[in-house]
Amino acid sequence: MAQPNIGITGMLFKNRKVSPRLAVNRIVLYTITIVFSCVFMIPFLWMISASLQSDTFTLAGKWFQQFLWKNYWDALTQEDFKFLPALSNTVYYTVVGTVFFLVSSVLVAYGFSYFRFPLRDKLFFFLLATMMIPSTVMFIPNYVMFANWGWTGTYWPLLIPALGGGPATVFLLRQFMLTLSISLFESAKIDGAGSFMILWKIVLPNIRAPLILILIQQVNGHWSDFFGPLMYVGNDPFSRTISVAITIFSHVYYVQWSYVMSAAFVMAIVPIILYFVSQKYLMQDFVLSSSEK
Amino acid sequence: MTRSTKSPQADMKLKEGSPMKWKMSRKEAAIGFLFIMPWILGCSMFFIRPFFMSIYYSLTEYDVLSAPKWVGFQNYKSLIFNDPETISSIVVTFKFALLNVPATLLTALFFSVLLNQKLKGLSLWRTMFYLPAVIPGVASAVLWRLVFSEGGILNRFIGMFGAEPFHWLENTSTVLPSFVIMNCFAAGTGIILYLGALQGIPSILYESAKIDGAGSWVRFIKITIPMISPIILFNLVTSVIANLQAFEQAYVLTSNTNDLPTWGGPNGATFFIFLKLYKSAFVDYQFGYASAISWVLFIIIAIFAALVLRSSRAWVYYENMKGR
Repeated sequence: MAQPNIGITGMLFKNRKVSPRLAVNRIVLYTITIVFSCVFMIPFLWMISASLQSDTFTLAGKWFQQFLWKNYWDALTQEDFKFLPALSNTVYYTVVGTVFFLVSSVLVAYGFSYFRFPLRDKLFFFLLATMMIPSTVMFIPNYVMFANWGWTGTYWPLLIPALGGGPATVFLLRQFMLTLSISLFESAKIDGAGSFMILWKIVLPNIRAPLILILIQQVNGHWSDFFGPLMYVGNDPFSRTISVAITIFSHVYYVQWSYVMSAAFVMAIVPIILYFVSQKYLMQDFVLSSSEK
Repeated sequence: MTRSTKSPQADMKLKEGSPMKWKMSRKEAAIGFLFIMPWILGCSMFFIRPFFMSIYYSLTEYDVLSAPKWVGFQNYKSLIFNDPETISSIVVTFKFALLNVPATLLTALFFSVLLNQKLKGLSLWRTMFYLPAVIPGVASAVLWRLVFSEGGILNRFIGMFGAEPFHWLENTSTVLPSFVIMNCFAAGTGIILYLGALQGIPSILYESAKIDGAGSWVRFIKITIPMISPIILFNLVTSVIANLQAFEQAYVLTSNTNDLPTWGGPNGATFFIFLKLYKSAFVDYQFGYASAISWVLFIIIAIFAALVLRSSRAWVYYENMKGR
């Protein structure tokens, strides 16, 4: 991003002919920015602090009195919490759900982009129309169906629908696929490449950036998902996700905050790492995250 | 031809029509259908079918164990006329949306304008503002439960000014504002969204306005706001829709799943429509009634989304629509 550089050179320029009023402005501006950015970080720092000290310090409003790294290990191996199974369930749900969703969205978008077949444009319009209706009205009948199939308590009600792809993602991928030049495909076709070969060797490498964004967004979405796992998988200690486990654990009468905060930090660290990895894509990221889900 | 705007590739092939091509295109159609098959199956199974089943269930009495019993519009009637719990859940949801949508929008707008000034270390400030928004909803909600608790940092903070510790989440009048405070801390997504839009405004607009003698407030109202109004609209619509379906925070922060289940905080102050929907389905096993609620919620969302979009004609400015 070139913007910060322009900002700094702009600053240096301004400093030469700085007027007192402008200087006061800058000081006020920096003060507000620094104070508020620190205020925004306080809850997160409080989480780290509470996860590393015993609850007596935390509830007395003390910060970073101890550094009990053992808290993390204790939280993981806690008897009632079953945090390790919850963690592995969440990893399973995240990986399988993301792969199912991404693979089928790519296939569907590819089908809508490069093949002519009857009703194609009408079907695509219908796909766009389905985005308008929130899933709220669908979830009771879906729950009833999965309950009749005996799928409640398992992850299938969350994973199998992911195989249908997501309308917003299909739409987005198709927009990117249609920007690719047709000459790329013609020569591959002449060389006798099949549809899958063209998808794998030509289309996917050319839309890598949007694919990575969707991947990150899907990993985050599955990792943080609460409502789906709560409704379908429930709170059986051996099959629930971390989000459900943390919620249940924070609802006991004597909450062990150091354990809850350790678990919450472990849950938070995955999206944070992904955020830093994907920072260069950040500016586009918001459009995706607010369109799907 | 409408098709040509959508898919240039397909059109080019159409023009090279020869007898050989017809066979090819039948094969092509078959392959194309195969590729979109996952969506066709998924959509009919998990969208079209439940869509109609939902209408049907909403007109029945259904507890999953026995077959649905047709009751006509009884569910909707009792929902509107003799279920104060549902009505109060709708009122509470409106209250929350009315507080939360403007508060988070203005927070995001304020800090995005602040970060759009030519500041040193912009990427550091941006990260610090954005980080709270990255934390998953549940992790952030349990954290805020601690923040709002009796010995939490919020009470420490007001204690510095001599105020007594306060039970933020156990008090009818403070529980919704507490939710709003929490959501303002997660305004980072909106900040980044507006920041992107602000950086797209050509600086020549500001320079010429300055020459004309416009002060910074006038420039903000007359240039900044109109130029980013399409993004404000987008954010407004998505957050109205999301807020009317609020669930997670009310479930984690102000409900209790243990021996004595409580729902939606003190006196139902955070008992949102979605919580009522969840409770009538999965606690009371009234799936017909829950479906009726889901349709009422859908209609409310549709009305509000339509109102926002309609009002947008008056205040949203599309630069590339000039003269159309």
